[in-house]
Amino acid sequence: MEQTADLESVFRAHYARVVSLIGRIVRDPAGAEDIAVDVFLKWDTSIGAEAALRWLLRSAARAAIDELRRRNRRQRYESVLGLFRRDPPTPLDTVLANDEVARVRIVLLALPPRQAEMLLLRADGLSYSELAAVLGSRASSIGTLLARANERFRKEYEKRYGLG
Amino acid sequence: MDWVEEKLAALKPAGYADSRRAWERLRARQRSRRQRLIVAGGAFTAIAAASAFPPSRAMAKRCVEACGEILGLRGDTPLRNLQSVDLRALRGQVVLLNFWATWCPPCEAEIPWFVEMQKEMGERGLTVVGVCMDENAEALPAFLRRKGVNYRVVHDNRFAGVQALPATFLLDRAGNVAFVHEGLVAKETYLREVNERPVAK
Repeated sequence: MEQTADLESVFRAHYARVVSLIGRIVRDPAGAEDIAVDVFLKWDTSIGAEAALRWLLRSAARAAIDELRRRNRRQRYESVLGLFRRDPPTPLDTVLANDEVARVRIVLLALPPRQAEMLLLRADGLSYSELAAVLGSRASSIGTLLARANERFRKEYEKRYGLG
Repeated sequence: MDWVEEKLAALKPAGYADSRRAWERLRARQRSRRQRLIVAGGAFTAIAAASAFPPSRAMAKRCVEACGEILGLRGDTPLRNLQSVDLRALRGQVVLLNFWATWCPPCEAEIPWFVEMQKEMGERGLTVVGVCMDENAEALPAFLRRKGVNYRVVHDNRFAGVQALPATFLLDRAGNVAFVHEGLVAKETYLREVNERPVAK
């Protein structure tokens, strides 16, 4: 049962960080917890303690963006079904449509997954060098990659909502 | 602050994290993984018992992966009854390769059949090989004695390719996969499938 003990110490050390990153995208606490637990279940003791946080953050960012994509698909499906329902949009729907968070998420969905993950990690406060370590890129190229992601984000946002 | 960063700042982190509850959830999921293997075994039973379905490509591929690993397999526990098995050395034999575990009731149900098959068909060229997927081999010797297992059993739990227990592969004399079953299968099915191979020649 050493493996569990190891997993446990990694979990204790990093769970709060991981779930808070995921929570930036997945806002219901139960959903975020679920995905965070999943990330830890995939963690492998062979990764080693000092690489653990890097690995966890990258997996968490990927899982969060995946989840966003999944939920968006489901929502689209449900809204197609909604054509056949008579329920008028609730005030909550209206609020959500104007919500900045919702806009940012929609824009993130329009980006290639890698860029979306990078921006999410950046939003989580990672520095350039941390970002490079987590994404496994060279520190020298991270600035370019990030600039490209920023540019793409700005373009997609502007296309939808103007430069608000 | 840069415009994009300002926008991204809308993504606020989760406000709280109950790590104790999450840890319990994680442990529960680890446990239920095992149970899922059993449940999957049960679910396959219904389908597999009705008809011996032909090995799908995906299953065959997983088998090949599993067998690939087993080729170099050494029983990693030096116990009586636990021997290393080199499948290459078994070319020319029909090999029934059964993945099982002591905590899996459907697997247990199949063991007497394999014992019988090994006894009756062993001379005609059938070799049964059991791969026990238990986490550790402590309970294994007593279990094997109690069940009167007369075929080779190795203990190895690394086979990620096997997703349900029991899982049974039949390799023909050339070492090709002749059939794949996941879950409990009727004894008659095994007998028929084995008899369809030229065991007796």
